[in-house]
Amino acid sequence: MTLLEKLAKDEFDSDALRRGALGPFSVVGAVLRAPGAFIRDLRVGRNLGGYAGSLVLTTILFSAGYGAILGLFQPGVQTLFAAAKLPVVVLGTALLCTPTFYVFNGILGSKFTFQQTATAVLWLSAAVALVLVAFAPIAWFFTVSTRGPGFLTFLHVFVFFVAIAYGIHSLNTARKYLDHLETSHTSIHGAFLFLWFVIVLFVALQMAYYLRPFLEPLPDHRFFLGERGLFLEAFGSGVEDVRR
Amino acid sequence: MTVHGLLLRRETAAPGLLAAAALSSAGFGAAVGSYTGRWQILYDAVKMPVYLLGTLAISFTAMHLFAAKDLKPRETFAAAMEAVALTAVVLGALAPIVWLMSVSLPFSAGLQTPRSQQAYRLLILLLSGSVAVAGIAGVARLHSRLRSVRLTVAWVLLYQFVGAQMAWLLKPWVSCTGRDDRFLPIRDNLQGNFYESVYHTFLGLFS
Repeated sequence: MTLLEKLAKDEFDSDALRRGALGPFSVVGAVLRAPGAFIRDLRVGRNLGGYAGSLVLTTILFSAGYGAILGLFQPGVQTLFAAAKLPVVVLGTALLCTPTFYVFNGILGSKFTFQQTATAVLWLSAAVALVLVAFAPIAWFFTVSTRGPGFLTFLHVFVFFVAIAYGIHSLNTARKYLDHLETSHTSIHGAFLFLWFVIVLFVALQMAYYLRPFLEPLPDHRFFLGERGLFLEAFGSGVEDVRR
Repeated sequence: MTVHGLLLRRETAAPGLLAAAALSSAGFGAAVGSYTGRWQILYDAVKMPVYLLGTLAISFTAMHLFAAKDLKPRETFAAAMEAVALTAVVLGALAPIVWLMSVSLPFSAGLQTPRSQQAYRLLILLLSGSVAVAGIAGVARLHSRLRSVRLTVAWVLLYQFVGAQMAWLLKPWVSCTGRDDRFLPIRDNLQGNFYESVYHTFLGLFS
């Protein structure tokens, strides 16, 4: 069975989601098992409010869960701080990049409304948060059983990489299926989507760098360092650390 | 609704386009001004719509001169307004990203440190890049509407000719002093103009 045939068979009761009959996290079922049903609803603008609410909630709570594990490296107030920071990065990046996605797609021939675009972007952020929470037990296990921050940093970067790859895959699948359903115009422009992913990555890294630290708390237990800088500086200092 | 109609190339009323252009460009201006902060946010939010719409107002009669054979003044205005509004909406869409960079790039009072000077240059690059991308979108829309390369080129040259001087007159945008103490230093800005400055910079390369 091809991907498009599988997507065509997906079923999800979004009316029940809108009525609140399925529970706040039920959209996870759609992300994992029935993306086709979501994409069809997205195309016709059906129950987008219900989807958006559930996707936002999923993004916030799931990324907060992984954030708490980041902060568990040195338990205490840093656990709370990291749990608050990670949803800001994941959801904040999605919100900051939504207008760009909407306007450029519109210029390139899409007929998506702002609400449809925002729901598609939230779909991406929820997919990212879902992978983060799926890896949370493994990250927790290594956090409580490892002393130095070196390996943990590597592990977290790897998990973020997998999460972003899955998010990109989810939205790209939506683009393919929408192209299949919509023959007269493109809903999400393919080449622009990949350029936009680069912008999203840039924004996410800059936001995370500004809100640092995530692992080790500051000596005076401030929420964040508040020192301005371009995220590329982190790579520069990383290279220097390795040289030393 | 106006913005959606504009993106989908539907006929949109001029007042709606004017409002969309003013609000979107004000948002972009505020994002750029956030780097210096405080009053500069308001200054740039006012200056950006003045820059885009003021340039259109000043160059309109000359633009219409080139188009008068085929278009009525109302049609000329509608076509030009649509292109300017689309440029402004693209800038508005980029505003959240520019805002993030503005508030997180290194800044120091008076821009004394090398890091803040580097950030200042990066921000100028981001500002110019955003305006270039938005301008390309506007020109592409203009061409698809006018369907005449000659007219599109003439209009773009006229708009740019006036626009460059307008941007010069309205500076500072980012404020190289790192302070929000100058809304419109008109006496300084009237010393020379954009084209004289380019000429002197060019001569400076060989001295």
